Amino acid sequence: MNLSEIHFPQTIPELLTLISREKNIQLIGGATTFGYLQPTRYLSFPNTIAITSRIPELHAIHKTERMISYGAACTLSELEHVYPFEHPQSASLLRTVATSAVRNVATIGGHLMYDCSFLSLWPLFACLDAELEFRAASQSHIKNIWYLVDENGRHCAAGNELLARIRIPLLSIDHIYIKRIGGNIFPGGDGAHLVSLTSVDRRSINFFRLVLAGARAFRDFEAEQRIISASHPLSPKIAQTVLHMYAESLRKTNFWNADLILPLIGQVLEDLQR
Amino acid sequence: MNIEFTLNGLQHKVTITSVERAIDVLIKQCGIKSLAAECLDGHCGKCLILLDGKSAYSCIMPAFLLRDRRVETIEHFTKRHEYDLLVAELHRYSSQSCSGYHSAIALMGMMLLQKTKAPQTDEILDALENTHCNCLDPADFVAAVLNAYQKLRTTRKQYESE
Repeated sequence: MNLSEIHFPQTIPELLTLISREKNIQLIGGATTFGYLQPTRYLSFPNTIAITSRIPELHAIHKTERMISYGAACTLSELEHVYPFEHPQSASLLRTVATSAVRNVATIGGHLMYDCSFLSLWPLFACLDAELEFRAASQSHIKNIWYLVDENGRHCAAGNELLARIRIPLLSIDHIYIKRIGGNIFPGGDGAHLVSLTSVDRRSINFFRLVLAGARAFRDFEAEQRIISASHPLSPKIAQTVLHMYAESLRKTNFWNADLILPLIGQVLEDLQR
Repeated sequence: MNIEFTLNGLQHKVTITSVERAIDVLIKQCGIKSLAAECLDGHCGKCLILLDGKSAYSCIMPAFLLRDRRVETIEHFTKRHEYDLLVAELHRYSSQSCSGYHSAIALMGMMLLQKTKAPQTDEILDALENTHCNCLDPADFVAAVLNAYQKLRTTRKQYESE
C-alpha cells in the first residue's frame, strides 16, 4: 500500500510551485476516474497528490461577447446550463457521460485530461475549436484541443503543466447532430461519437465541422472546406460530392467502418439540405 | 492526515490516509449504517450521499475529498416530517418496496424535496438514475416525489398563515 502526501493548494501559483517541485505528482479534481477504475478496496496514487478543487480561479466561468471560458475544476454539473450545453442535444451528450452523482463531482479538466482522451465531450469540444490554457511555473500557453493528443488519444501535454482553463469561441449553432455509435465509450470501449455543427449566415454556410471520435479521432478538413461558403440549403450535388469525399477519406484510415458511418454523415448532409 | 467535515449536521474530525475511500471512513469511523460498499465503482448506488447538498457516490470518492465538505446521509432525514411524507407516498405509488435501495431512493427523494422550486420530471428521473434501482417504476417515483412536494408546500403555507 503506497501512501501519498496530500496537498490542498489555495492558489494557482501555490499549485504550480508544487508541480515544479514534485516529480511524481497527481492533480486531482473529482477523482471519479481513479475510484471507478481501481476495483481494489484501497486506492493507489503517486507519491504526491494535489487537490485542485480549492482554487477559486479554477472554478470560475467567464463569458464575453465572443468567448466562454471554464476553469478546469468546474464540475460537469456546473456546465449544464452554459454554452454549449444549454442546447438540448449537447445537454443530452453531457448526460451520457455519467449519472448526476458522478457529474456533480467529476471535473471538465479531469474529463479532458484523462489518458484516453476521446471521451464523450471531446468531439463536441473539438468541433467548437476549444482551446486549452496550460500554465507552468515559468510560462503559460494555449493549445487547440485538436493538437493536444496524438492519433491514439495520448496526451502531448508536458507533465509539469496545469490545465487551467478551457476557452470556447461562441458560435451561433444552427444545426447540431450528435450520434453515439457502438458500445462502451469509457474506458477503452469500442464506441464512438459523431458530432457535427453548422452555422448559417444569410443563407450561406459559414461554419461546418464534423468530428468522429472513439478509440481514435477523425476529421476531413477538405470535405469541411467544400461545404463552407456553400449556399443553404445545401444543394444535392454538393452533398453527394462531400459524401463521396468522406467515403474516400474514411476508407483511407483503414480503421473506421465506413459502411456504418457514411449513412450517419448522409443524415447530417440531408439535414443541411432542408 | 486529520480532516474535518460536517456529517449530518455535526462536525467530525477523522484521521485518514490517501488510500481510503470516503465510504469506508463514513461506515467505520463515523458509524453510518445506511451505506453499503458493494461494487466500489458507483454501479450499485448503495453508497449515495449528499455532498454539499448534491448527490455523490462515496465508494468512488477518496476520503481526503471530504475535507471541509458537508455530507448528509439518510440518517439525517429519517426523523423529519418530510421523510415520513415521502415514504408514505412511495408506498402509495409503488406496491413493490425495494429494501436494497430504500436508503438511496429515500435520500434522492429528500434531496429533491429540499429544493425551493418544484423539481422537474427530468431532474427527478436523473436523481432516480443515481440509485440504479430496477424495481421501482420511474413514473411512480416521479409521482411520489411531486405529490410529497405538493403536500409539503400546502402544509408549509398553512403553517405560515397560522
